[in-house]
Amino acid sequence: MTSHTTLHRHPIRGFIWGLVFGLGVTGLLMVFSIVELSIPNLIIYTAVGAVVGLLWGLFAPAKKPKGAPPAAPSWRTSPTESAPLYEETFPPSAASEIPPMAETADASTDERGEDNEDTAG
Amino acid sequence: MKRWRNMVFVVALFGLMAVAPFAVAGGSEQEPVIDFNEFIPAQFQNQFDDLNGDGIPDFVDGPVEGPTGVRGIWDDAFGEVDDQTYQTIDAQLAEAGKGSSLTGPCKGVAISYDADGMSVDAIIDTGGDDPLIDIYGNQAMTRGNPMKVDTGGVLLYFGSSQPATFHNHRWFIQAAGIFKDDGGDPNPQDKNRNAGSVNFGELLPFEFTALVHANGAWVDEWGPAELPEMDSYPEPNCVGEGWVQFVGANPLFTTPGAVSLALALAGFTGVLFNARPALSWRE
Repeated sequence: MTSHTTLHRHPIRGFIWGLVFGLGVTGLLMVFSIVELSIPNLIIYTAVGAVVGLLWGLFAPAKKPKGAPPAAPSWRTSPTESAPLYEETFPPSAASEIPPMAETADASTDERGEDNEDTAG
Repeated sequence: MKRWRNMVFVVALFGLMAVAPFAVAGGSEQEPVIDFNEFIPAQFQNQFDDLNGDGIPDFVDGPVEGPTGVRGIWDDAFGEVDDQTYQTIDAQLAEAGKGSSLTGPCKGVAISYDADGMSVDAIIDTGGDDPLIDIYGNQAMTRGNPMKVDTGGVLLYFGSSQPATFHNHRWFIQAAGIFKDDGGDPNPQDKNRNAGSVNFGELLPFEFTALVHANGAWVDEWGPAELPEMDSYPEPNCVGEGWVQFVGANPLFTTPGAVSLALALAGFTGVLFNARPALSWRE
């Protein structure tokens, strides 16, 4: 089991908030007499705001995920331990039937039957 | 720390927007070339004096209800007959010079005042095809030099079509494609001038500031049918256009300004924090 991130985009929210923002900015431009008061100007500037909001909702830098990633299993948290294979592969009942490693092979010899201590010496 | 920095930024931005209109409003160093006192009828001269030094007569005791214009039977507007108030003005207009953006025989004077009766702006048109001019002789009602009208104040006006007299006439005036007024009259009494005042402070539900493009037309012998906007009008007529800037209180403290600011802030906050793509953990 691994945790990863997914990206959620918000074009509809961006469009609606952009519409509100565009309407407000257009109103400010008009009350400060920077642009003339007219219906076409109102529509154009508001539409530009809505489109900018939509694009922002699609392509803006994404926010980092909140909080820490979901907790991983304990064997994942310890770098020195390896996962027991049967935990993921077999149900607990089947896992108990697998003989321990020591019973299938001599721990002091390798696959060729040579003594490990000799090779080390 | 970051939060404080953002707060200081927002306060500074708001302060800049609130103070800027006052900071850029500077006085003119030009000398008036037109004496608008000439256009105040003798019987009203004692009510006016140039108190703010701009060369335009101000109300001594604040704005008073001036004479209202002559109302045509097809008018949507208000008014009552007052023929004697500005009888002498028309002759003085003829001597004041040339200039009009109005085509046709129309000419007139308009003076705008704030709520305290102090003059804000004044324009004059003496007939002919030359543009309207302000008190300094500059072309008026252009985008760069619009006619300033206080939405909390009063506008005094005098208009005339002398020597022509229109009958069965129809007129309209509109601004920004939003505001429109129209009217007309058979004019059996052969009236060819009108004077009056418009009290914006009483007419409007709230003050606002804006720059609008206005146009209008007045056509002789049109009849009772509503006059549409046309590329050319039957002769004789008066057709004109120009820019009007509604001024008054600080824009942010007017209803439209406050609503616009609230929308802009809400929209900005929403775009920034509610619409941004986001990563989320998933197993």
